[in-house]
Amino acid sequence: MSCAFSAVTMAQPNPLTTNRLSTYAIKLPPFLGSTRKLRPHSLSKSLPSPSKSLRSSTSSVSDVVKELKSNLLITKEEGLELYEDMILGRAFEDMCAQMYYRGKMFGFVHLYNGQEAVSTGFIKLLKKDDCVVSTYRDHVHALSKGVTARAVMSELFGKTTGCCRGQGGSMHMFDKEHNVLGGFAFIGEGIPVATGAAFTSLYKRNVLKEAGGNTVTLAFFGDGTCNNGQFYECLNMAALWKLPIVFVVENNLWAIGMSHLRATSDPEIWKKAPAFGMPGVHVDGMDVLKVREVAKESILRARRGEGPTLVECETYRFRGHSLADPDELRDPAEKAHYAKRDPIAAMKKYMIENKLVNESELKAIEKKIDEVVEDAVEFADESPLPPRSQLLGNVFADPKGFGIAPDGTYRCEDPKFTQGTAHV
Amino acid sequence: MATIIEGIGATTSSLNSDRFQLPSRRSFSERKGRFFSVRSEGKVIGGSRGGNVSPLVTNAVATKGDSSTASTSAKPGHEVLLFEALREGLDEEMMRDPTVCVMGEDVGHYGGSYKVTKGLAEKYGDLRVLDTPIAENSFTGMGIGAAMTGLRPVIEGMNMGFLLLAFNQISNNCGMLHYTSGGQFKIPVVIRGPGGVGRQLGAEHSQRLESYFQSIPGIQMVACSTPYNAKGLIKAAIRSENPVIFFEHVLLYNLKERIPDEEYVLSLEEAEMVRPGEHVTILTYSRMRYHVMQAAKTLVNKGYDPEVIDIRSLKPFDLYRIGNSVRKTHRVLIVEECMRTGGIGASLTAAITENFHDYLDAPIVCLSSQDVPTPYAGTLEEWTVVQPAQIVTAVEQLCASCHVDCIDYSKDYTWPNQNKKLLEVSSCNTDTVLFSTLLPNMDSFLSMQTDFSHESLVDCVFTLDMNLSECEPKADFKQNKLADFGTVAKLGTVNSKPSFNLNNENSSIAHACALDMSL
Repeated sequence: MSCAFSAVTMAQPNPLTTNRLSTYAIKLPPFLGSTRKLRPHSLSKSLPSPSKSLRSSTSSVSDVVKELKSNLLITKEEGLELYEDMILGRAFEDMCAQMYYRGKMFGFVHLYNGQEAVSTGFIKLLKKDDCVVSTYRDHVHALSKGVTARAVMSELFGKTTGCCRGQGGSMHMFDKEHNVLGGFAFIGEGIPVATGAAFTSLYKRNVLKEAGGNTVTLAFFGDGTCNNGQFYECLNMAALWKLPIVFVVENNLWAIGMSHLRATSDPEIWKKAPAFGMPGVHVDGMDVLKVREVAKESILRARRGEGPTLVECETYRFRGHSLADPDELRDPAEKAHYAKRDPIAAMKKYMIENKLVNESELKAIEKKIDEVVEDAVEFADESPLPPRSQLLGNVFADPKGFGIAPDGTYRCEDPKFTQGTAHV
Repeated sequence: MATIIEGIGATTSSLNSDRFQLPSRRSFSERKGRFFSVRSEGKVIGGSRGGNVSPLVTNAVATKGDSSTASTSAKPGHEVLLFEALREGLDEEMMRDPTVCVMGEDVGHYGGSYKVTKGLAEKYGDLRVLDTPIAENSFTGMGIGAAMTGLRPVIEGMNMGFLLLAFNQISNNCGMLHYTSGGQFKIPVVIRGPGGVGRQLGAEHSQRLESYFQSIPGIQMVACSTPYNAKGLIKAAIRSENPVIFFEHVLLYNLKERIPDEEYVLSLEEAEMVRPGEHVTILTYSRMRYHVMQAAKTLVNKGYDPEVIDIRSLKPFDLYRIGNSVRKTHRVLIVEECMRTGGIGASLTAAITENFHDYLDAPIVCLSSQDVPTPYAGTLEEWTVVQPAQIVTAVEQLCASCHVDCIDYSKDYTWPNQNKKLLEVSSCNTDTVLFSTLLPNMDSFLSMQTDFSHESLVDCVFTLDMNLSECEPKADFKQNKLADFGTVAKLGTVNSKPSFNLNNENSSIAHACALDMSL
């Protein structure tokens, strides 16, 4: 038996050598991965097939939106708030790119351009003590939750005034005051942490008998994470104990260079939720108003104690995976298609057409945000770098954990300890 | 270079002639392992100790309640088994602080696979003693998320080996989040579980994860070994703001001991002196403590006096107590159940060598389990783990390398009354006489040929204090050996005459010489 493998299994097109357009075309022979065509890119509406689960239903939000067409979804104030938040996200990320290429920040920087609708749509509905858990693409989640642009920019520059004192960096944005629980570099790693935060909320209500509704936790993650074990384990636990959590999938179709369709047996992520007994919703993630409607419902569900929801937001990132990604793999036609659905442009159009605002007000907002971002850069530039004494400071919450030195005292009591000379 | 030799002052009068014996001039092979040393502080320790030896715990799985250990409190308390002690500790902490909760597989209704959490779910409810699905990575992460938002979870791995599945969360989140968040979030979790080699449990249930976790920055690791320290340490771990990994051992759960009724919390960073001694320091933890104590019983009968320290804190090491011990005995043996490669013993060897190299008379010996997946067969399993007989052999070899096989100077010298430093003359074979010092600030180690004409002596600087100048060698020694000693003494002496006389009421300490040597 010289060769047991036939040529058919090797027919998977090699994206590096074949024509890019043909790779993306639907009519290719089945490749390793999904054999379904999930997303012909002309389809902009959600897939409304109902689930067969007894206890929950999946729904499509486009129907909801159609009903409300006659009534506006937002007031002027809400609209301006949403617009400002999205503009802040976009301007901040663009400035990050500039700063990166100027050598002010290093490492991996993952930008959120194009996905602002998801962050704004969800996080602007939260209260201050609700928690947000994100991935490495977390700048805008932190900004939406309320962390100042100054703190985030300083953190990116690695300065001591950053939200994590310069110790976290781009991928680890934490803020205790605004309950941003990170910022995780490994995908899927934050989902159990979010589950834990939701568990605390349940515990506080039921064991500690603290008054008030549940604090809700939002876990943001991408399409690639939905093939990871931690995702499924946490869906199970959250549904089992009816934890006040919303799992938000930012499905931007690409995990660095791996197309979602090539990695997933059933690419319709929202369908995986009913298997665990929770509702799964698919929503157009390029439209902030649609996202907001779904978010309202799922956050209310969680707050009332009815359990988790899985929301799949179809969205797209306009830039590469990170600033180090040349982004040559994605089809320009696909990019152009989604660029036409830019959430900021869509929101602007909606508000102007519905006579909520006029152009000058929006321009004023854009100008204000530009100033905020400029100020953030200036602040970060002028901030000091972390001193040597900061090196060992936060390794342990209780520095006795560094142990007892040969002379009998705790190492942390050594006066030279803060210089980072103590052995660990 | 001129070091004043410390005095033993009046302690010479406390030298009790029947407390020690002079090692005669014998060949190495004839030795029965007795040797003695005289300390600068004047304590004379012979081959057999007096009445201050703690009774030894000889069994790994002791069931008799009257086998008291060094860690038992003096007050009458109540008898518990180790898993009950852990449960008491958990119970007390859960009563004290309502944010303490337990999560793990089968901890609730089942009561814990080793009965540690039995009864707690009925008392505190299903939410505080949470039965999780079998998803270690996720529920460990959940515990970490809960800790960040205000709870104090105790996460149980049904077997330590299962925590390998949670390594992502333990390493990335548990250890690091406090740091990467710039100190904003603390993670006061306790991750506990039984590990170690049991009775034919097979390779995957017999894992020792101490070595894998020890380099994760930001966590502390402790290993309990008795009911007393199990309860004290679990309480300390729960109260600690740092994440603590708490290692228990499958075979130690049924140890019985009397523990105090009143509340007590032990320190997470301290080591425990199990049996003070003089000849060799044996560092151990968890189950190996019992193998060591069993070996210690044999060693005492053979005339050795091992000092046994249960290090308890696997990360960080208590270098103070360990250091004091090394300074006292100068020989270290590490007995652990971890794998040989990259284990706790390897780290401890490095730490001791870095910090106390000058106090060591011999290389550190580390006895660990073999680098073998634990076999199922009982005989094979026994051979992968360190057994008491191996410990006895190792101590014998370690001490023999510095034992006295000396030239009997008893007839040649008399001992002066005061103010000198004392050395132990020891040898490793009949051709070499080693002078080694037992004193902390003399850190040279000199090897000489018996004819004392070795070139190396020329490089030594000797300082004798004034009292030594009163020493005079006896005549016959002068003829052969002392001539060289005289040469030795002459070199670099400052105040004394080349001849010396060691006076003592008991001339049998003769071969201890007072020399302060620095190379």
